[in-house]
Amino acid sequence: MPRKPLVILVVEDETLLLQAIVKKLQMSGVEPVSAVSGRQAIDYLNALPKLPDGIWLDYYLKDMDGLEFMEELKKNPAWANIPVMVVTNSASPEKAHRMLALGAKGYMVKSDYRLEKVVEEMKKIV
Amino acid sequence: MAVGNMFVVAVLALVRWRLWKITKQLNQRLAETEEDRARDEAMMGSLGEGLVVLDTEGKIMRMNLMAQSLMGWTQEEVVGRKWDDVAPLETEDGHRIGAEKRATKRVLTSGKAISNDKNYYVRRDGKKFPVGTTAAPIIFGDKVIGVIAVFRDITREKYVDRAKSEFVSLASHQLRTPLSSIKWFAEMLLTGDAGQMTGEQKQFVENIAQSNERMIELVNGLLNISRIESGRIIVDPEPTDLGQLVRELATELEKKIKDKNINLVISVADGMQKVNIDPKLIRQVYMNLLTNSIKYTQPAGRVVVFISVKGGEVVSQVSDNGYGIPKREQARVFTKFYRGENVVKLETDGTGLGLYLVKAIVESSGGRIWFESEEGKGTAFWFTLPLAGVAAKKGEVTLS
Repeated sequence: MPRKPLVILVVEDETLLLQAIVKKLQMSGVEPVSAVSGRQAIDYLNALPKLPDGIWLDYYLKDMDGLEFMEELKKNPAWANIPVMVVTNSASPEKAHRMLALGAKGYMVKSDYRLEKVVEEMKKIV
Repeated sequence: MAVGNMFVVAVLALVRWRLWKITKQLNQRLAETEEDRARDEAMMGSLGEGLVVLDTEGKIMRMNLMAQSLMGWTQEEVVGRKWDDVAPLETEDGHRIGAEKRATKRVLTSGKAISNDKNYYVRRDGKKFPVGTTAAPIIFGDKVIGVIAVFRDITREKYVDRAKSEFVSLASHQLRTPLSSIKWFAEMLLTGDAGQMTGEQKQFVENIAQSNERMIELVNGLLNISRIESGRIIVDPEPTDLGQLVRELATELEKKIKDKNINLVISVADGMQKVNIDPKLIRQVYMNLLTNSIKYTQPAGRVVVFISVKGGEVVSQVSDNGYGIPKREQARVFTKFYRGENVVKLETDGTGLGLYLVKAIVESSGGRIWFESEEGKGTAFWFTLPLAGVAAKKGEVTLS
């Protein structure tokens, strides 16, 4: 029986970046589910038949920021354990510390890494 | 007899005339002094900054018009009262700063001027304003006889500072987003995720990717500069082995060193102890100086790092036998966006921000930086760090 592909929920409100991420994840054998807002991501978590193996989270979303999104995840014990990788363009160490303290498994600055590298790191944490 | 009388009268007249002359001169001097005093008074009164003069007990002796208007008190009301009661000083979060800790008190013992722009004055009506102050001891003969302080409302500076921080955040988020998009799509094209390209197509996309990396470097460089200029940088010192720090950097730069076949020599003086500095900041200094030396030295050239102790300082030297800096440009080396005329054609890579940042980091760590260079022969940079280490600073941001 072939192994089931990893499912990653990608939360990114920049559609061009989302397009690149989705394509790269597919190319590397991951099944992406894309959400363009925090709200949409929460709705998906409620509606998906199976929870994703990991969440790729942009820090600044139009409807909420990373901290608020993590709070939402914490509200549901089933969601609280999904590994989250924050992929953002805000390099503030304070934000990174707070996100890691809230349980995020990684914090990467988009423009500093190749997409391939972010996908690789994402695979490591799930 | 008549002759004798006449003589006495003449002498008396002469004395009287002398006395009259002296009195006239004295009056004139007095008038001049009065005028000088009035002029000084007018100057102090018209000074655009608040000015207050205190005695050694911190009691107000004089206050100029601007000081009266900034604080909401008249001079008559406050002369003889404690400055600490008339102008309470608070931190940003509203904590009162005790009289003992105020610059106006501390200068009495330090004997040197102290400036500060972090606190707030509370006016007579209870309103607060951010204040920039400089207090200095008044030294007469060799005795301190009081304190003179100038201060101004820095609300506008604070506003500009905030606007700058907002720009930094705008730059970090808004500019990096399209840059990431270009970076990632170019990467996918180059790795063949959208099919194979012809040789020339690949070359063109590589050019786009390369230019984009340069833009990312520029944004990062500008962000770092605006962070360090804002004074909000976190300084987190820890005992650091500088030799090891440099050797680690050399490993990181191994590819560049090998590609150019550079002979890198790292030498650390015997018995060199650990220095209490922020390794993340000082790493940037060595990193910039080393990459510059490697970049601006011809293949098979030589780069030397030498770390030693002199007096109370650690002196680091980073030198090369590379292209050198033209004499006429040497005064501009530490300015923003400076790149040597002789090297821009040879090395297109580079933002011109590195040495500006290096200088800012070294100076904010209590050190100095200087260089010597000759075109065609090479360049040597030296920078110092206090052997006693640097003080920790809470701050808000780090360099990326």
